[in-house]
Amino acid sequence: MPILLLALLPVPPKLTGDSGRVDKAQRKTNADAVQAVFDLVLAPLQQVVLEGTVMDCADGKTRRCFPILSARIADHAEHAALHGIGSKSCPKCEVPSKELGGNPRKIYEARDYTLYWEKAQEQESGEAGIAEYFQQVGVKIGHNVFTKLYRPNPVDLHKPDLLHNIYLNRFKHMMEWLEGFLKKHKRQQAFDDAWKEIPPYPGFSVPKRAYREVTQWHGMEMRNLGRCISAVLASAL
Amino acid sequence: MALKSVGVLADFSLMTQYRSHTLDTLGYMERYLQTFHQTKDIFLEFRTSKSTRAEVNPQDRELWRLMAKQIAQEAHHISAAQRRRQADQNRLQRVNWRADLIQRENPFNFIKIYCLSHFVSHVRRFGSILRYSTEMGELAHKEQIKEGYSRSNKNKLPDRSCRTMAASTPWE
Repeated sequence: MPILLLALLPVPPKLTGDSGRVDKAQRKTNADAVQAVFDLVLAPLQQVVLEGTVMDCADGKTRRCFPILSARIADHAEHAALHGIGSKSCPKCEVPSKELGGNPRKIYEARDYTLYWEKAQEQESGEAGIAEYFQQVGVKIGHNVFTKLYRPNPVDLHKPDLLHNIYLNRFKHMMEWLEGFLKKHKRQQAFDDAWKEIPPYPGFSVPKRAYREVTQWHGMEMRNLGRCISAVLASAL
Repeated sequence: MALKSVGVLADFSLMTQYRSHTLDTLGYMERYLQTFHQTKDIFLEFRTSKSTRAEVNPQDRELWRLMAKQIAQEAHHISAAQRRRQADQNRLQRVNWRADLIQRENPFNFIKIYCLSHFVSHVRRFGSILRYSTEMGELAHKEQIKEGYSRSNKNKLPDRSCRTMAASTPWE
């Protein structure tokens, strides 16, 4: 997969923390700047989507293609910034922030970004009650970058993210709970000992230090952890 | 219980790394997630935030004081055994009440745990999750930008690093 560097995003100035009003204005400017950069980057796609363009094909022929944006790969904070939603909202569906840890089988209504766009327009023309609606569904910016694109559905642009979601975040959380659990049952030492004594195996790098001695975790180490954690825990308990 | 919870979570994440899926593996993934949500409560007390603890602990102490007072009042007309029984009952009641309160706050409310429930439907629609990972982008960030920066003369940076990288990609 070739990766082409198109643009570097602007780094926003730090919030001063002196007054709420200034910080709020600064946050708004930051959000607008990021949205504007993405508008600029995605602008060439707009025309091409409507008219199509001629591209070389692998079989030697040239074909008319309609390239559309198919994925946006980013971590959750970046998704939230561009989709214009709050940090505790899901980009895919309208799950209330209080029910995030609830039943995974429960299905919530999928987000409709076109509707938000319409609502934002209504809000500009002075309609009341829109702000409450936005707050209820966790939307911060009604006009976001993706509602301006013709073809893709913004809901489908959001992709699950293994590195941040599983390795760095969820394993980290899990280890925090587990540490508390081990501490309560006084099995920390047993866990560390089991951790150090994992035998080498092809495709698996053996941890050199005891679990509690490691200060910083990388994605790769977390993946290793995922492979051996249940065995280590089983022998520690 | 804790072992089961951690086990299913680890199994789930190992399965997300599969390069291809069948209906069976998707079924397993769904089941792992379900089992995790059923067993996660074992970690409830280690998951509570500071603010929740700050709210729960004083209330807990208050309740304890009330109960102790009540027992002290009734102390002269009940026997020692009855008193002990009453105290045990009170303790149980307090523990349950505390668990209820923490449960209501639901400390598992964070976005990354919710995102997992979209994984299975994503695989059904778009295929393996592995190729959508941000790892590729993070690596490119290191290779293209950081190394590009160390090679450059540090002038007009953003512009230059975009240009040199665009020129050196195998794409063109």
